[in-house]
Amino acid sequence: MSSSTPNGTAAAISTLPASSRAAESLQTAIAALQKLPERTRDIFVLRRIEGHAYRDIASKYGISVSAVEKHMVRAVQHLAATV
Amino acid sequence: MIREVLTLDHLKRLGADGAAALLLVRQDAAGDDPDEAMFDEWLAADPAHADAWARACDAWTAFDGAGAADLEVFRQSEEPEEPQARARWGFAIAASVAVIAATGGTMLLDRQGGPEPGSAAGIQVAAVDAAKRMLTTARGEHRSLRLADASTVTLNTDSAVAVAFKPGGERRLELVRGQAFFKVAQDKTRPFLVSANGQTVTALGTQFEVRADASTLRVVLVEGRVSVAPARGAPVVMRPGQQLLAGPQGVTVSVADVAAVGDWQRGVVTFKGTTLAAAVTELNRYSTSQLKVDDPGIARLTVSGVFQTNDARRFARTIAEIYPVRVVPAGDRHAAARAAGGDAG
Repeated sequence: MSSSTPNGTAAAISTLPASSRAAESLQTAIAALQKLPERTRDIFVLRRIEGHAYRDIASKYGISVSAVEKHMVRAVQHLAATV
Repeated sequence: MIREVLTLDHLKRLGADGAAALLLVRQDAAGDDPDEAMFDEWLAADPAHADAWARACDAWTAFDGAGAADLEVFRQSEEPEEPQARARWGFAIAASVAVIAATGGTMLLDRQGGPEPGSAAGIQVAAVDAAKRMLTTARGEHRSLRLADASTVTLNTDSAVAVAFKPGGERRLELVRGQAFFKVAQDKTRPFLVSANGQTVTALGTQFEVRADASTLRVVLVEGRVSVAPARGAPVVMRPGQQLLAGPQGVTVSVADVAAVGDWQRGVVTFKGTTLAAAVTELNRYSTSQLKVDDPGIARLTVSGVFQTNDARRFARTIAEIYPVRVVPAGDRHAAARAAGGDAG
């Protein structure tokens, strides 16, 4: 996003030294996701990786928004304990 | 949507990690921070809570930039018990561009002119942008939010800040539009970077404000030290009390009006010999009903005083009391100041 300004952003933005570490932690996080119950995992992926709205996920599964939130809380808590 | 109100007792019963996860998800679901006061109370209640919050945020940011390719692993390991699973993933990925464009990612995508709809690159961009947290304010609104590292960001009217913290790495933010004040929690190992209009401000334990107009970036340093990297030229290190303006004409550093930094956070604006034209432009940032100065003669009149940013009408009335001008309603959303009887200016 930052490289699109016409007056040249490249000089201002240094490269991210954390990127390899980030890739590593993504692998760990994905491994941790696989240990979750399938529906909890699917809901987390729909929200966190694909960016669907909570209400859209709720209607997709025919459950309430607060039920979607409960799946998300369970996923975050599990991931936080692992990552 | 009606949401249950959180109480500290409820949060404590969940344990530190359960409460952190709940607060993070509620913040994500609401798109802003409705539990801000409760969050502060919870965070202060036990030193272990900050650690739990950091762990939850790390778990969340671990997925920054993750996309469809990273999910291949699920396809391979998926048990065949649910035959629709594969089709559902396919649908979900294809649909993500449309959904994101209709909700959170809009501002960033608009700013870049938008991705190619349906293209592979478009999906990638959308996924990356959705991974960011976007903090926004409406016109006339200002609010403070606490970030995962205990830094705070205060957004002025009609502003947007994208937050992309790397786990264990840089704290990177972008002022997408408007004006924001940053109070940075000290952490020498994790630079705090704010970019806007192609320039980057780097901070270490400090307080500063950034304002981005169409072509100009203004940084006011209240406390500490920041380094500003302009799009062109060498980085500039600022001292407290200084302001830096970076625009097409280059970079200038001068003495800042530091008091004005606190002003908008209290909902006021101070004018000191400001021209009426400039004062009206400033006040119009805060309101959907816009003031307009019709007469170039009165546009040059000067204004001094402290005014509420949420009451443009009162400002207009005050002007009409001290100067021979009158305020006329101009349609639904405009009020115009005109010379009264033609004798002003």
